[in-house]
Amino acid sequence: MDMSLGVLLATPFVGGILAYLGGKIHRWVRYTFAILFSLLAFIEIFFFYNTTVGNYVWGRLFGSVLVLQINPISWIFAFIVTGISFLVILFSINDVEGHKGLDFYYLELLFVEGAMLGITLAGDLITFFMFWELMSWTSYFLIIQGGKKSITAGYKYIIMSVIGAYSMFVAIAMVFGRAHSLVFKNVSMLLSQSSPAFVIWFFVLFGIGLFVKAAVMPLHTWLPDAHSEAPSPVSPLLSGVLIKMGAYGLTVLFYGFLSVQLIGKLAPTILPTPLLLYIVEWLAAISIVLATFLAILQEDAKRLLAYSSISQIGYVVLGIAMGSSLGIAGGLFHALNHAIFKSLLFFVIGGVIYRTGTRNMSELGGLIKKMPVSFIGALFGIVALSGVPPLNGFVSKWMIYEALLQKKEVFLLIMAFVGSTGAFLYLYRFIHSVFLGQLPEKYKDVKEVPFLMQLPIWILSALTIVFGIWPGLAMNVIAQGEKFLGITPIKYTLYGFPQGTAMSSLKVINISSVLIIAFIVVLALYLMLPKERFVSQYDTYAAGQVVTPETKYNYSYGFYMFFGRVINPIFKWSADKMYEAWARATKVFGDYMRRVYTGNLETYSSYIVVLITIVAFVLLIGGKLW
Amino acid sequence: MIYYIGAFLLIAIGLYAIIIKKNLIKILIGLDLIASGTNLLIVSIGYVKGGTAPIFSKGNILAKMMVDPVPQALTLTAIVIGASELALAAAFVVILYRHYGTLDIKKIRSLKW
Amino acid sequence: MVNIANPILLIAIPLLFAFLIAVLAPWLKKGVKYIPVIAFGLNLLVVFELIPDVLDNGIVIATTAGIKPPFAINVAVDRLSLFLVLIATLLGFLVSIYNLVYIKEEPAEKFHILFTLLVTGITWMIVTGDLFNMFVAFEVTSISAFGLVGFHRDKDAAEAGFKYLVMGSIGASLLLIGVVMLYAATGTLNMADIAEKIMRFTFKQKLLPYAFIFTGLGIEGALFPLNAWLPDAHPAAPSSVSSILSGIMTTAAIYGIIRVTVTIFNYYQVILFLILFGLLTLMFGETAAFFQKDIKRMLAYSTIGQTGLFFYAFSLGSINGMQGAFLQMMNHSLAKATLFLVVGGIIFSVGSRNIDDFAGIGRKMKLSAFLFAIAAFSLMGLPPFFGFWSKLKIIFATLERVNVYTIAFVVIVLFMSLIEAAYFFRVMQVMFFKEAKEEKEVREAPAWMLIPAITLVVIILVLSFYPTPVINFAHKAAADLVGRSVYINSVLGGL
Repeated sequence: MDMSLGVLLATPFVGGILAYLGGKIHRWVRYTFAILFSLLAFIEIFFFYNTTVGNYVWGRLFGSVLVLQINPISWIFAFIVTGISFLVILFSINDVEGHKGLDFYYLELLFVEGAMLGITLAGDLITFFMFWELMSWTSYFLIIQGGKKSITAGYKYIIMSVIGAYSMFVAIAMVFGRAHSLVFKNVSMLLSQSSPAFVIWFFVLFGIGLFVKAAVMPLHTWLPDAHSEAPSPVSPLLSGVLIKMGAYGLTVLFYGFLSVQLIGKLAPTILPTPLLLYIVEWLAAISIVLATFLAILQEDAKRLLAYSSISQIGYVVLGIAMGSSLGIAGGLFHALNHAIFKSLLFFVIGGVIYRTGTRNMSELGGLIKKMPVSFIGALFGIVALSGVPPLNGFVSKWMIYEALLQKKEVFLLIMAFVGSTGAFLYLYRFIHSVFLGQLPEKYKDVKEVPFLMQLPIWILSALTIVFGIWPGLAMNVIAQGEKFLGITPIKYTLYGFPQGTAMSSLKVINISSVLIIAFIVVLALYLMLPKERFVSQYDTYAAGQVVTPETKYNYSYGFYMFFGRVINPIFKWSADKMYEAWARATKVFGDYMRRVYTGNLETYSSYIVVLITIVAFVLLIGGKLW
Repeated sequence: MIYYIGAFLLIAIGLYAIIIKKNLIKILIGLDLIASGTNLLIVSIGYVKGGTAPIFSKGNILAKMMVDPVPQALTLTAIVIGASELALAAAFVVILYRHYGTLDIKKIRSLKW
Repeated sequence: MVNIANPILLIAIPLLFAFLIAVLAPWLKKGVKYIPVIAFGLNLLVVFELIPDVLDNGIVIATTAGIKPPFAINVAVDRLSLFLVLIATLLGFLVSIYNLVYIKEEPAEKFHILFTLLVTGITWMIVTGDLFNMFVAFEVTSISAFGLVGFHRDKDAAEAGFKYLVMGSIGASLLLIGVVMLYAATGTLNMADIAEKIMRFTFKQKLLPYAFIFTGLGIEGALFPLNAWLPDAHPAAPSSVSSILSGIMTTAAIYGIIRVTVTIFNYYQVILFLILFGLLTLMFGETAAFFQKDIKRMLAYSTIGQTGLFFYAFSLGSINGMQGAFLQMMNHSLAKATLFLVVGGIIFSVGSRNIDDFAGIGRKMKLSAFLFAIAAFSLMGLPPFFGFWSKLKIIFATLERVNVYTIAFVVIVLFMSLIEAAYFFRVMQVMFFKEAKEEKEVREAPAWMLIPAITLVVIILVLSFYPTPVINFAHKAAADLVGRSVYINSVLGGL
């Protein structure tokens, strides 16, 4: 059984190499290997359903063992990783066909999958950090394949990732200096015995690394660029899966290494949540609100979705940081749900880009007739995202709200509501500008995306319903995971949450039934009432003006301009500008620093004399500078 | 003692020439001064006042009165090395003069930063 | 059967062959270029023979003229020396293969003589157990390096060569002064003997010779601010020479400093002061590298940075720190040598050293670009490559004790790693993802120029996935070095 973890982890890597080599023979050999191995990894995951396998030692280094493990928490994330990666590969086949360097693309795709799988399976910090870095640079090579602009975006991404990773690195090294073993169990043991100052340092440094990946404000600035500029099939992987690694890391950090009690002891507080977690909650809530506002103002569909990702991951982090059983369950469930619906939306917009070649929302419109499947996918996606029953986003958001309410954290609740309401605004804009309204003349001949690209959309749409109506399916694993972390899980049934538990009663099946009945009634009314008359798009009366096919009847550019006027002042100071200023300052400073190499021989020679004097002097005073 | 002072003085003058002088040839002279100073230092370390060559010849010479042979061997090696270095340096000066048409070190600084 | 596991052969064989080149050159104009390959091939055999001996006994000692140390000139190979000798010989062998095709400019035979002497000098410097011999080896290395840097005889080469020569000779003189001072104080030149005799001296009595030796070796070892010659000399030299200079020569000089500081002077008080040099070297090297447009100059500055990094790790003074330093030395030597070799091939084909002209190389010279990427990843310390393990070790060693200083050190080291990552990723972006402005016919480098780089990359990959033996070996080497007694006692205890 132990060995099988190694096999699971090796699957995507082997697949990547085989796909790369196979591509030299024929492109279908490449596709076969890529699909086969990613599917294989996905199937292998199910052998570990609800099991806890600890401590498969795969190496030794510097006196610490390198360990692989799996538990229900990591299972959830491993499930997301392998599932979405498989769909991404399916989607890629048509989407990036004909590009250059495809062998390398699939190699990287499977390597990113393997690295992320490695993160979830890691049982010690060295393994964790190794795969974390591997994920950073492999995904960097995926991002910068998206064209000219993506190179700058990728550069920003890798630099910020490396900063985050190094911050995490320091935290890990600090632990290693004391424990000489980095297996998770030993780490948590060490931290429970260490001084508060040490634990806070560890918490902050490790947390920064995770926050960069999870794109919690103010460390989010790489995300909008990277997610929007990456190739279409990569964006679902980034938004759906990669940023979840941050959420996974946070779960492990908060409840694996530490615990609510331990964090509470670090800094005494009267707040309902331990102080450090409370700060994280606020950061998450700020992310939710500001990212929602920014998403509302975007013109670029992928950028809109990227900002929406920041906002949604804010819910995940908010839930996880809450410290109550319900909140953690809600956060984890939302992580799963967000992976499903955000990938779905990115697949949809990827299909639209594939057919139309633009992602600028003001140039699109009326694609509903041409791309009905994509439209249905988008509809499911936005309904799920905005948290409307009976789709999956509803349940997890409901859980987070309820958890906030139980803790009486009213401000955070309000912010979460604002984020949700804002989501309606930008999602409506998204579906309206892309699929509804007027079809631009140049897209008259647009067709639906090919079958292989429809498939992920179908599958994910179905999943939004499945997890929406039967939340118990996901709660099964989440409850196991909470048990694993030593938290009492809340009661649940297949259809929701029974009366008289930590959660107020919620039966999604009832809500869904009502909604379906309502839908049927409306449909019946629609069918019974007299038919409306369809006219062509150009058969309009325009008060004497000549209407050409190019004339626009509806707003699509600057859709929320009025709203933008209100909220723009908030964004006068952006974190991004600040980082750029820092980068510039560093650059200027560095430019001065290198002036010591003047090119003058006499300067260089005088350095020698100066140095020998200094060395002699320092030695004279005993060689002790401090 | 005077030898030590002399040796370090030579080295200091050599360093001064390298740092202050602009002419390539003068820099070479500075290099040679440093090498000579070092050699002088080595020899003076092994020197015994009134001593003779460390060869067992006729007559009874006390081992105490012999000059230490090792530094002399070192000096010979160092002289050879110094000479070859200087020759190479002179070759560089010739090439530099061909390219730049000047011996002013101030003007020869296209490589920097 | 003659026992070839004798470290003296490491010096004797290539010296002999170097003179053989000079002798045979008039008759065998075309053939002499194979001689260095043979010489270092034989050397490699000797090193391989030495490995089991050193692993068993910890040290192998050979003497000249059948007299026991400390009176004879002796050669001692302990774990640390073996570590570096192996790299030096390997690089010498591979780069001389590279030279077969790369060196077209006349006088080629003189190049081969100097090249052989360069690598010999480096090997000599590493294996010698005698301070004056170290000086001679230092000079052999330097003089051949001066000649090789100026080999192209163009404007840049002459200027760089001259600057290097002036600084190098000052350094050599300082080294010699230091050595002679030690001789005056102890009456011996044997390292182990000095180490034993110098214990009687107080800290302050030891300081002047140390200051001279440190500065002298520091010039060759590219410590800030003595390293100004390096960014001029490395780019001006032919790429094959740059790879030796960057890959092993600075490392050998740092080895000299390590040997002198730990084995001879036992200077643990100074070690904290040395950290400063490591960090400053790292900072200035990496920041200056960030601004370079010329790829070879960038790599040269990166060498300064890497040298600073492992010198810093060494000066942490703990066994773990030195282990990290040795691993990083190995990583740097292999990776930087590969980078220079590959870049030499690219420049060979593209005809420019400007990074911006490398656009589209990733498609046209697939193999070269791939090798460049692997070596750069390892140098940057990205997992799963070898550099990751060494960087991990260095950071872990720093944070063995957590206090304000160590945190500050770690921040500096990691920040500089970030800058390093930034400029290497920039080069890779240009190579892989930028389209060339004008379509030029660019062909892959000749096979004989690729084979050495491929070999090095294969070694890096093997080490990446199977680092444990090397890590353990580095640990033992560090423990031996810190323990001191292994070296001193075995040399003085006779054979």
